This record gives sequence, C-alpha cells and structure tokens, in this order.
Amino acid sequence: MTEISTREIDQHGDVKTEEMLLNMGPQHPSTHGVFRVVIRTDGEIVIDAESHIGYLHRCFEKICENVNYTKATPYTDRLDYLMAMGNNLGYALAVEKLMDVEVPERAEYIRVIVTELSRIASHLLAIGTYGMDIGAITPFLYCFRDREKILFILETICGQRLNYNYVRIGGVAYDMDAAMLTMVREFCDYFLPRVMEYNDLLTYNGIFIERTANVGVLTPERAIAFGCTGPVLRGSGVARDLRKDAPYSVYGRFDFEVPVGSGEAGTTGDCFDRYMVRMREMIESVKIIRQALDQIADGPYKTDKIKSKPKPNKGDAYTAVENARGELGFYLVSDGSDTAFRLKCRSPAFSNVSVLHELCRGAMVADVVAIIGSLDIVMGEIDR
Amino acid sequence: MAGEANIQEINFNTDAATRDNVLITTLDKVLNWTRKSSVWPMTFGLACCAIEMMATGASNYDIDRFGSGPFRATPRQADLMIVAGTVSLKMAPRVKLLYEQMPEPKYVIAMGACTISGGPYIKYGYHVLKGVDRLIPVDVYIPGCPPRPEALLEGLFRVQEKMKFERILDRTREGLRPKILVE
Amino acid sequence: MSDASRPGPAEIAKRLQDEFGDKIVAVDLEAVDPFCQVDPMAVDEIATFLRDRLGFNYLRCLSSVDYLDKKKTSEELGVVYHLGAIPDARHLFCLKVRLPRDEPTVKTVSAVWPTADWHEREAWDLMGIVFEGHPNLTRILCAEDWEGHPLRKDYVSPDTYHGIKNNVV
Repeated sequence: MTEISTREIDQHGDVKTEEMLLNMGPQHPSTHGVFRVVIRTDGEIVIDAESHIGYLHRCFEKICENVNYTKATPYTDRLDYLMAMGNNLGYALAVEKLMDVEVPERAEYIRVIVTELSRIASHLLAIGTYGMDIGAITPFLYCFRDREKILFILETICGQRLNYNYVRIGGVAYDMDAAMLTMVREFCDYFLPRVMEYNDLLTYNGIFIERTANVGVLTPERAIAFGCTGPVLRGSGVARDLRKDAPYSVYGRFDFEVPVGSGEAGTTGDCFDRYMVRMREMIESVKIIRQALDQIADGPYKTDKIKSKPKPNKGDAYTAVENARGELGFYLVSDGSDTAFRLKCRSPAFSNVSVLHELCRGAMVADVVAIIGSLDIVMGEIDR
Repeated sequence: MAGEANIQEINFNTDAATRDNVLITTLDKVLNWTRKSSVWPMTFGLACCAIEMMATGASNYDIDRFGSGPFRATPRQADLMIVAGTVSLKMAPRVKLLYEQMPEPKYVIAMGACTISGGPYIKYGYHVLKGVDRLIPVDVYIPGCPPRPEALLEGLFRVQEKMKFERILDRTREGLRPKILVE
Repeated sequence: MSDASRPGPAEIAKRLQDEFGDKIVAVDLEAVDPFCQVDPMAVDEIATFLRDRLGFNYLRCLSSVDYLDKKKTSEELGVVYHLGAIPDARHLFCLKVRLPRDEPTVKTVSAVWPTADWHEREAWDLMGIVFEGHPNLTRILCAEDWEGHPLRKDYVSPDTYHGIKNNVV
C-alpha cells in the first residue's frame, strides 16, 4: 500500500502512467508490408499515432517520364500488386482519354471480367490476412485456396500470376477463347457457396466480432475530408462507387448493388463494416462477371489504330477508376511525344491510410492492428 | 559394468538390438540434417514477391511440407531471411540491421529481380537499392518478377543443399559466404 | 445533385471571377478537364469558397508538375488540384497554379481538405514546392536525409547513399 501512495494520482483518482513511444514496423508482420507507425501510448490507450511511409518508394512517376507509354504499363502492375488488372485498366483509360480512340467492345468486356476477377482475388487476400491479424489462421488458408483458383485462370489468360501487363492501351494483350470463358463461368458457380464458408469461419465468429465491432469508427464526414474512397468510405455508409456513379469502360451496362456499411455489429464505420463491405463486394463482382459473360460477343480484342508507340494528343487529363481499395486516378500531362511528360498516380491507399492517426486515437494498442488491417493497405501503391 | 562398456566390445553384426537401434554418423551430419529439416524463415515481405511468399506458405503450395512453415516475426528466431521485394534506400539500413540481429548460422535468399539487381527499377529508380547483395551476403538468388511459389521452394531446397556441408567447428562459415559489403 | 441543378464549369468559373476578380489568372473551358489558373497566394481562400459555397467537399488529387521542357520554353513549376464531390461523382472542377522555379511557394489547402496534408508533403518531397502554412512540411516518401527533389526534370540521381553504391554498374 505504501508503494502505490508514492505514485502520482491524477484528478480522477487513477494511478498516472507514463507516456510511452511504441514503434511498429517497418518490419512488422501485421503492417502488410513496410509500413511504420509510431504510437504514443498512455498505459494501453493510444494517445496519438504517426504514420511513416516511403520504405517502398520505387520512383514510379520518374520512370514513367523516361520510358514510353507501352513500356510504362508493366510498372503500373507493380503499384497495387494485389489488383494489377485494375491498375492496367486505369492507366490504359488515362492514355486513351487523350487519344480519342475507340476500344472494341469485346476488349471492354474482357477488361471487366479480368478486373472483377482480380478484385475478388484482392478482397480474398484482404479478408484472409485480416483474419490472421485478428488471430484466426484458418480463414487465410481457405481464402488462399480460392485465390489460387483465380490466379490459375488469370495465368491461363495472360501467362503471369501476379503482375499481368494484360490490359494494354487500345485493348487487351491476348484474346480470351471459349475454354477460358467457361473456366471463368465455372469459377463463379464454384465461388458463391464458398462465401458462406468464410462467413461461417470468420464473420459470425464471436471473437472476431468482439475484436472489430465498434473499433476504429470513421465518420462519413472525416472519411470524405481525408479523401478516403473504396471500402473504407463505403464502410462509413456513403454509397460512392465510380463503377456506378461515373461508369467507365462498359460498367454502365451491368446491374449490381453498392454495398455500404450500416453498423450491423456495432457502429457505422467500424472495422467490421469495412470488412463486411469487402465480403459483399465479392458477391457483386461475381454478379458483374456473370452478366459480362452473357453479354460478351465476338469481335476484335484490340484496336488496330494504335501503333507500338502510342502518341496521345497534347494536353492533360485526370482519369479515375474504382480499384479494390478505392479511387485510383492517373493525372497525365502529355506533350504529344511517345513519353509521358508527367504522370501522377493518385493512389487510394495513400489517402486511406492518412486517416489512421484519427482512427487510432483512444483505441487500445491491440486494436491498432485491427484498424490497419481493416484499411487494407498495399505499400506498393502508397509509396509508388 | 554395462554402462562402462567399451564401444569396441559391441558386435554390430550379431547383436540384433544394437543393429536395429544404433546408427553411426558424424556430428556434423546430424546437426546439418536437423538444421536443414526445420529452416525457419523470417516474415520479411517487402513488395509483390511477399504475396508469392505468402502463397507459398498457404494451402496450395504448403511450404510446411519441407519444414519451413513457421514464419517468424522476429529475426532472433529465424535462420533464413527471404528478402522478398524491392529494397529501397530508405529501407536498406533496416534490412542490414535485421540481418545482423539474426543468430548464426544464417542464410539469405534474394527473391525476385528487384532484390537481385534492382529489376525493372535499375535504370531510373533513384531510390531503389540495385541488388541486396550490395548490402548483405546472399546465398541463393531466385529470378522472376515475381518468382512462382515453385521457384521459391526450389530456392529453399538449394539452401538446404548448402546446409548439408556445414562444419560445426567452422563457426564463422568462412569460405562459404562472402563478407558484409557495407559497414 | 441532379444534372440540371449542378453548376457547370462555365458557371463555376464565372462565380469565381465574380468573387475573386483578378486573382483568377486564366480560365480554360475547352480543355479535357476545364480549369481556372489562379494566384498561388489566394489558393486557400478560393479552395474554401469552392468547398463551402460550391459543394466541392473532396480533393481527388493534388499533383505537382515541372513544366521545364527540353527547349526551355517554360521554367515554371505547377500544382494542379482536381476537385470532386461525394457522393455526386460528376461535379468536377480543376484549379491550377504556376510557380517560379527559384521560389515555388503556394498557400496550403491542408486546412480546407485534410487529405491535402500528405499530398502536399509528397509534392514538397518530390518536387520541392513549398506550401506556406503547412503544419508539418517534411519529406514523406524519400529518406529524411535525401538531397534534392527527384521529380524535377533537372534532377541528377546520386551515385552513393550512405556508402551504398546507387549507380547501375
């Protein structure tokens, strides 16, 4: 008893604890890459968090000013390596916007199919690793089982497992034949029942709900102010999806829902909502793929008007697509030559993770891992 | 007394119990066999290759079959550092620090084109380390961008091959490994 | 906001000109993304006006550009702001500023849109543009002791970094 009386007592009558700086990363298993966050704690409560990024800065924008448009496509793969197809698509649309080129319809449908497959693969990884962050190992193994099936299909189509370089300026690199389309259709039939399996494994798990509900609540106002997009914004209850609101490619022709968080386990905008949005988006992606498979018609898979070295018109334009993590934008300044004058990539995860310090304030130290995981960051895209 | 029996008095050919239960080998071989059968890698994902490293650890490729399942979160428990992904110059001092924290004997796999030479970023990547072997000694290189999981498994086998020829008295592993290049 | 009630680029530009007069340097409505070029020292007021009165609650992208071309016709730097609204995805506008190369200073908009905080740090890190009034203008992507601003067209990559060879051969 004498020992405790010598310590300082604050005005609430609690024992005062000293502030402590806690460093997480850049090498930390739950930061999904080389992300570093310095946390200031009071006991087990986080007072403030400061994010440090740049440990994977790979000079993407400088390289694009030095190599021509065709050669820059593979570098876009390596931005968001979990959804490389979406990056290729965004980049191709950005260049095409300054070129007044008509992309054949079949190419657009193929783009949609592969992008949505890629989106499912990305969400599967996000869900699997999120389970692992929280402490559940098994969902990770199940998610990777199905992710491998998607990677096998994509590998059959374009010959690579991760960085595809498939969606090119003016179309796609190779055609998809009937056998490949059947493979995609079979995967859709296979995949939908699997979502129930993940729900049984993870979503309805009491511990998982305890760890994620009411944790890291992001209000819609703060989400918009910090430029959050994608599942992070939709988890806060704002139905914004560029595929629906400003349709690019042929997304305007499909009928699908935009899932939003509604606080079903706790508060709207908590980690559980963000997780649930991803889970539901996979079902919507399957819906889109099935419609695209029904609508796709024969025809050329790339335009023959584009030479090997495309030269967009002089000017500048900003093009955005909805990637797995949110709005992926490319601001392209062209001087009329075959090399970009300036290409700025607006990466969704960059803006999403900039809100981290707000989410962490007042949370427990163990919740920081849950919050980082729910933002689903990809360092290749944040650091570029 | 039986406990003090001279080893030369045991007849290995006629004594059935001894023949079935005693193996004679060198200590080096036993240690190397145990070591190579449970190589614990460090969770050290940097970029795209980390995703393939995760795939190697997951259900389809299952690196656990070869004793390398436990990916350790701390370098102090790891034998093998799989440098998976681009090393930037900002990250480089940390990579070296992590390497130095690993206990001997330690092994390094350079996975992917970026770690070998800078890969696609070699020419214009001002902030990219042009090959991790400029920083720490590398035992096995795996090319690819990213390498397939099978390639990573093959790389692991090569490390295991290398482990077979370790000498326990040769603590510094001189002759087997290049020196640290940057002090 | 429906299509009819949403102000078009021409109307936005006119309202800005009415409000800020000669702080709007140029207007281009024919470009792919219609834009106003504005005075760098008035960006924060104009941004606040656009956010509060015209509904641009979301900064989509903040890009820095080096306009130094091979023929040296222009030696300016620039910052481009792409504005949008949530949830109205078609409500778009663009602001541009041009800055002198030797002293590129522009007012910060990080108080208007907090997302600009990191984007401006990136622009400082890679392009060397100073954002006046920014709370924490430090390097974000490159290492803290990095020298120079890599995205400038006249940047030369260093040969070594802390004793690590950085050249190709």
